[in-house]
Amino acid sequence: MSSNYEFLPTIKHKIMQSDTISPDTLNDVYSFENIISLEQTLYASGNAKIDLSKIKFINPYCAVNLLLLGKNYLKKTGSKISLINLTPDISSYLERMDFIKKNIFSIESSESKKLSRSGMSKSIIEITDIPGKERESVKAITNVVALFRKRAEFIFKSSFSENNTDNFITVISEMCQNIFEHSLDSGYVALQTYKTAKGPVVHLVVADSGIGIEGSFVRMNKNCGKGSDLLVKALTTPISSKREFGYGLCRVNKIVEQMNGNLYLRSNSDSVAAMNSPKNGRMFFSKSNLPFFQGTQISFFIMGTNS
Amino acid sequence: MTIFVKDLISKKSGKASSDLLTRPVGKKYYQSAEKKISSAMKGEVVILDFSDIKVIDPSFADEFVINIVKLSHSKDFYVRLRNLTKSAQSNISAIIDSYTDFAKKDYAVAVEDLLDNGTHFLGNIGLQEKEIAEFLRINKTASTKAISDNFSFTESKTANCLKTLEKLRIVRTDETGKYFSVL
Repeated sequence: MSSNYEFLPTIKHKIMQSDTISPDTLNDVYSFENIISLEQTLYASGNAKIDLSKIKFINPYCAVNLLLLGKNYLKKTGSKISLINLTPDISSYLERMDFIKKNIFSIESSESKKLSRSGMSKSIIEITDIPGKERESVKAITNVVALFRKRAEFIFKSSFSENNTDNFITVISEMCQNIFEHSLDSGYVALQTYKTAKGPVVHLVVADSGIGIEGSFVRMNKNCGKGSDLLVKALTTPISSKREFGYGLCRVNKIVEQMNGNLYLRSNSDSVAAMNSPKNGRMFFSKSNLPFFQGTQISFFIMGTNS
Repeated sequence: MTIFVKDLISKKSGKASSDLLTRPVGKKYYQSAEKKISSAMKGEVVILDFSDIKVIDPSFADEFVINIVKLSHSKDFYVRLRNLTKSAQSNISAIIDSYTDFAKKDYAVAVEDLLDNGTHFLGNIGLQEKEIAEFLRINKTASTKAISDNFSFTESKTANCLKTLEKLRIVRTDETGKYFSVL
């Protein structure tokens, strides 16, 4: 079942100066849409800034995509975006997720309280590079999966099971492989557990700033549809830009569905959200003509772990 | 012939991974398995033992399992899988189904473990064929008549089912006309 959805009620983020974005929230895919819609303002001068003074929480989708945005800016202009007015908590979080280590941004923050890597760190997978080259990428995927296996008990807590762990590993592996197989770019993977109003979640993100899903099909002269229709097709049918057929996204969606999880897939200017409905089964909410954001970003989360 | 899949590629350092992931790794494992299988006799059952393996992702399964199943059709040997986790079962099952749709030809593989579908076979097998394959698995061998009598099928219907299973390389036959399970 597929339908359109409206998810951008208002542009909440304010432009303080011509080259500064000041987001109010960075806690879901929709809040990052607002950043994307203002991305061009960062290119107005050579002194781009993102003011994080109002940010109290960043989810991994926003953290990883912020990195992609900064990486693209650095590639295009040769200079770094400044992240300013980070609270100590946000600064510590970004440090703990290895965001700062990537050296993509200039960071101006008040002093950060150092979070210890023991204990808390076992329930996350730090932002990890997935290189665009096959050999290095396979090595990176192997390392991420090994780390995930080691931490799975802390990540899933009471919902830990061998089967959940194995299913998640299939998802991580298949999603990361798409980066070196199709995107013509490198990317990132990260995982975080946190509490929401509906309960605790395990949230996995895999993202790249490559040619996008449609771009990959166009490049191989394959016609399997366009825009968000192509994204829905990729989630529901074994299609591939590279081979006669493929399983990656389709299998991932099936596993996420079995785990009663939600999936959000964004590629260039299109997106699709997939979730289970008790009445209608798996539902797909697609959106086209979004502000352009280069590459493919996938966010996947399951509810129900207890802290 | 039994192939212990985890031993196909020697790890230069440390412990071998319990997860078989990605296409490039699947290709390497297939090449190594193909070398071993080249010494198999005509009609031999090749057991792929996945002991100590937890995850077989769809990309690995496509490069490894599907290619070995395809090879069994061209080189005349039989494939049996052993020690599959639930996740490995689901991923291999999904891949066989997708490949069957794509190739427009039915593929199946026998598995020693009892699967979630209540049988010992992954792939596109009809209900009556499944029942016959399970009957042969338990009895090891039977004639067409014995199978017909057991299920109250006509002999021609039973013969058709057996032909289908033989094509899928789930059962074998010999010169006396008896059928054998590959399990």
